[in-house]
Amino acid sequence: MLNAFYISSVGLQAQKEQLDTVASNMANLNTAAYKRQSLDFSAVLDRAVPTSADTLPSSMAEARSSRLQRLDFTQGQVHATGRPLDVAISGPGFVSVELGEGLTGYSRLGSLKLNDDGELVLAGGQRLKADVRVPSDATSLGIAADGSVSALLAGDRTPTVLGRIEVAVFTNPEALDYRGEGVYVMREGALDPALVRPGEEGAGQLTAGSLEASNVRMVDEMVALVLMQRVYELNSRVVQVADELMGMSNNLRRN
Amino acid sequence: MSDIFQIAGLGMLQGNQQLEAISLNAAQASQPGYRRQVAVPLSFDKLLGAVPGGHDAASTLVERLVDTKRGAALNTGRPLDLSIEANDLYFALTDGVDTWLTRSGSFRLDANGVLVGQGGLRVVGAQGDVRLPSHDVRVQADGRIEHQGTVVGALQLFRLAPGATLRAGSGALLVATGGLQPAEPNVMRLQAGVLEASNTDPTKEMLGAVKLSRRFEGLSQLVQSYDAALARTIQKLGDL
Repeated sequence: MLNAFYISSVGLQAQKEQLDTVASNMANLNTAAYKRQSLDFSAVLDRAVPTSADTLPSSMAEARSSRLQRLDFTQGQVHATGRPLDVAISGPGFVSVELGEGLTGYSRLGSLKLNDDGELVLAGGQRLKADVRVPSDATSLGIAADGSVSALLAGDRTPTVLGRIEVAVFTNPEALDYRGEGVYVMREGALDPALVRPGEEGAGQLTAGSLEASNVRMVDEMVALVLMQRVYELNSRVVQVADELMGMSNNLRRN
Repeated sequence: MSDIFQIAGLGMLQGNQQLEAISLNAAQASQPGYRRQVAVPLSFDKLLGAVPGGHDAASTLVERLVDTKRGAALNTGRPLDLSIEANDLYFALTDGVDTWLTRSGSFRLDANGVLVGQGGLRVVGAQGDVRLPSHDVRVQADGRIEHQGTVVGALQLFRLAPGATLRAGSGALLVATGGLQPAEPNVMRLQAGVLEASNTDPTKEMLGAVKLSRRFEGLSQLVQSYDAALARTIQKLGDL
C-alpha cells in the first residue's frame, strides 16, 4: 500500500514538471528563435521506486542522468523584419558564440548588434565566434545566405567581404541544454559539431533582415495545461484512496 | 480459527496490489506509449492451497495483465517520434542482455549516434542496433530510415510468439513471457511524427479504486468483528 503513495507522488511530481514546462513555453510564445521544451515523462517516472526488480532494465544509467526536458528543434517560421542585423537560420544548425571561461555556446541567432569593437554580438551580449570586425565608419552592413559578412568601407564603391559566419551542425541536437537568452550548451560527452558553410552539407542558410519565430504551438500548450490539471487530480484521488485504505488497516484494532 | 484472518488478509493484500496497479496507471497517464496494467486477483483456492497455515506477505497475489486497447494519436512533428498502425506489433528495446517490447516510439540518438528509446535502451532494428549519421532523417512507413535520399538503416517491429503473454514492465516497457518474433515485412507500417498516447482511462481507474476501497472496507469490518468475537470468547473462558 505504501508503494501506491510513492508512485502517486511521482505522478504528481511529473505533472508539476509538465506545468513548469508548459509555463516556460507559453512565456516564450513570441521570443525569436525559441525552441519549445517538452517533458520526457519516462525520465521523470524512471526515478520512481521500481515495483518489481525483475522487470527493471539492468543498465538504467542514462535514465538517471538524462534531462527531464527535451528540446524540439523544429524550424520556426522565418518572418521578414527589414532590419539588416536581424538574422535567422533557415534549416538545421547553430552559430557558435563565446560564453567566457572558454565555454562555447550555440545560438539560433535573432537580433544581432555590433559591440564597441565592431564585432557581432547577440542581443544578450555574447560574441559570435566569427572572424568578423566591422570598422566603425562602415555602412550598408549585409549578411549573405552563405554567411559572408560584407560592408561598404569609407571611400570604397563596392562592398568588401569582412569575414564569414559558419554554422555548427550537430548529429544529435538533443545533446544540447538550454542555458537561457537563446544560448544552448553541449552536454558532457556529446560529440563536437561539424563547422560548415551555411547552405552546405545539410546546414541551414542565413537569412538576414528576418527573424525565426518561436516554434511553440499555443493550442498544444493549452491542451497540455488542461490535461495536466486533470491528471494531477486523478493522481491526488489515488493518494486519497490509499490514505483511506491505510486508515482502515491502521484501525483494524482500535483499542 | 485463524482461517478467517487468513482469508480476509489475502483479500486486503490483493486490494493493496490492485491499488498499486491503479497508482501506476494514474502516474503514467501522460506517458506516450504506456499501456495500462490491470491487476486481476488470483483465485482464492489457488492461494489458500499453496500456503497452508499462513502466507508470505511478499508473494504476488494478483496477475498483472496489460490492457492492449490502442491509445490516441499525438501529433508531435518530430521525425524520430514513431507510432505503429497495427495493434499487435511492438518496438523492441534492448540493453544487450534482455529485450523489452514497447509501443512508445519516442526515440532519439545517443552520444554514439545509436537510436535509443526509454532509459537509453537501444532500439532493435532489422540488423541489430540502428546507427544514424544525423537526426535529420525520414522514417518511411515500412521502417526504412532515409538520410538525404540514401537508406541508412531499417527498423523492425515484433509480435508475441505463439502462446506468449504480455506482462507489464517498468514505465512503458512490456515483457513478453514466452518469447517474441519479428513481424513479417508486409505488415510493417509506421507513422513518423506521431506518438501513441497512454491508454490510461481515468474512469476505469476511479471505478477500480472505488470497488477495491469498498471491498477492503468490508474485509476490514470482517476482521474487526472476528477480532471482537475472539475477545468475547477469551473473556468468557477467563470467567470460568
